[in-house]
Amino acid sequence: MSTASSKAAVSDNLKGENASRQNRIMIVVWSWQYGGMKEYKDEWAIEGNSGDKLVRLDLKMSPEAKDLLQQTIQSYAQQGDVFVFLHRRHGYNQKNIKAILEQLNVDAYAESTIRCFLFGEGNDKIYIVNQSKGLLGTRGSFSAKLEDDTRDQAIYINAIANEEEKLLKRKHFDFVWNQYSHNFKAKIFELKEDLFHSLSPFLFLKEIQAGAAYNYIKLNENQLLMLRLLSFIGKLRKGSNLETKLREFEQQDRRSYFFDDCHINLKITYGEQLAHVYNELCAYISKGLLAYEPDFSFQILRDQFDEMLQAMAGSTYD
Amino acid sequence: MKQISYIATNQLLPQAISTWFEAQNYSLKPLSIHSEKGHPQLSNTNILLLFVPFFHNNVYISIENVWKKYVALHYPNILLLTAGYIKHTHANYLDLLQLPESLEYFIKHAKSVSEFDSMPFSGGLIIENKLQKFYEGHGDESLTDELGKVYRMVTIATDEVKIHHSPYIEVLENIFQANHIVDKWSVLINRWHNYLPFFKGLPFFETFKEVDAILKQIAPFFEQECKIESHLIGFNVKEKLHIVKQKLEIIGRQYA
Repeated sequence: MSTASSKAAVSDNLKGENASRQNRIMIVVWSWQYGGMKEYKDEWAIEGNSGDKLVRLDLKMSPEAKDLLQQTIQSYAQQGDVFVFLHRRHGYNQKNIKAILEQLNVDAYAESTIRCFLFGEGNDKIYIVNQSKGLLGTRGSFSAKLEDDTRDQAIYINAIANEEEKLLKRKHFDFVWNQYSHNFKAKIFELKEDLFHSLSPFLFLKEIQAGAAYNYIKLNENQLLMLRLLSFIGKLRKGSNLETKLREFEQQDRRSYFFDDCHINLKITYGEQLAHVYNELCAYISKGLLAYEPDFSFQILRDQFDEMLQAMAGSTYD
Repeated sequence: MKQISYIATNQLLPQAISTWFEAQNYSLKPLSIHSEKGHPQLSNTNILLLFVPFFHNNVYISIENVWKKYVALHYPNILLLTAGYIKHTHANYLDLLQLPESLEYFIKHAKSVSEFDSMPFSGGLIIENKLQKFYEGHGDESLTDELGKVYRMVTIATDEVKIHHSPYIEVLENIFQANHIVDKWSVLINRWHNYLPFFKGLPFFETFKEVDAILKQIAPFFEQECKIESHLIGFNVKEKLHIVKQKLEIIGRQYA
């Protein structure tokens, strides 16, 4: 496992999306030339904001394309957060993503989040035919016809606000960005499942001494769980050895464990009410599970996790 | 002591809960999805307990309702139970954070698979959705669509060579190259590798493993850009693709 790719994953979590403050740039590698794009690359702005943009690239995977892509990502990462979408049919796969991220010095872009997604045979919310507020249409375009069972005629959806000015509709851009940003539900669900699995030696005891679960979590063999919980409740200090350790666990397991951008994202995307539920859950973990609280209850902990997950719209996984 | 066979992807949990089961006069016996004989051996099982969701490919996967279908089709007399951390009061679901006073009573009141529509959703990735996309008639995620395209071309080419004795260079140029079969094969294999890890917890995963082995056998033909005539016939590419189609169609008819 390379340190660079995991650094990217970690930095992805550490830096936060800050979607409301950072410029947001999507780089989409797709069959754009089929749709009439003359060069291999161009740039579209988003209505209402001069900083957000969508960069179109039509590059089949090759060593040269990989280098060019890396340069493009590096260039745009200086301007804001970057989501890179790679079309599988252009020859991209997980190995390519790894290679691309490995050679990116993500630490040089500490203020930006860089993410890479594959699409075309899995993640599909970027397509208009799957999500009417998507961005990619048919045949390398920003538009598509949608069949609607309730109407006789198909609906024509176009994500372009102004073709001459190369301007895209904001609602389409925001929708896709948010779809790919909201991966927190899965992470919280996984934390809940992993937490109860780890604590299973205590779940079926008739009586649990106050703090017994806390003492168990503190054991060296349960360090990963402890670090994930600390990250979830916002108590994992940036730059600390513990943060480095959790990063190592991420590298080893190839899973995403960091949560420290969770609060701000939940606030932005789900509103104050969910942020409140999140704060309540954090407090219960902090003062109940990670303490010597005699009245701590696994059922209440479960209920609070469930309340939070239920309040987050959409399925756990795409 | 009565026996319950179980499948779990996390081994700590059944170990931890076994004491509770024993106190209820039941023993837990692990069951492998991947047995020596291929499919899970359930013929001697009376009660099957699934600890859900399963964890594969770094994702929690909700497999419970595909298993329900499988049990209903092949072992309708088995009592199927699930256990997990969601809060639910289904007659066949054990809430691990609120276990029943009497397991005997719980089992007595659990229903046979024909008596209820679905198991309670365990909250993970809904595997039926993956299967549905896998089997879609067309689309950017369908595997069977891409397989159909490759199979059709290989069938035409094989008939041209075997029946009409057409020169292979013509077959190569007019059928394989003209229809970009190498690209289509690449798409097919790419999709296959994307899907396979998600299917590990399915009761019929052995069939997918068999398909995987067949695809590996014929891959060299496509990797050589279909240029080697002897591979087409010698590897029985058409026949093997037909077997792949048949195997997948059987699962598709029942579960997708």
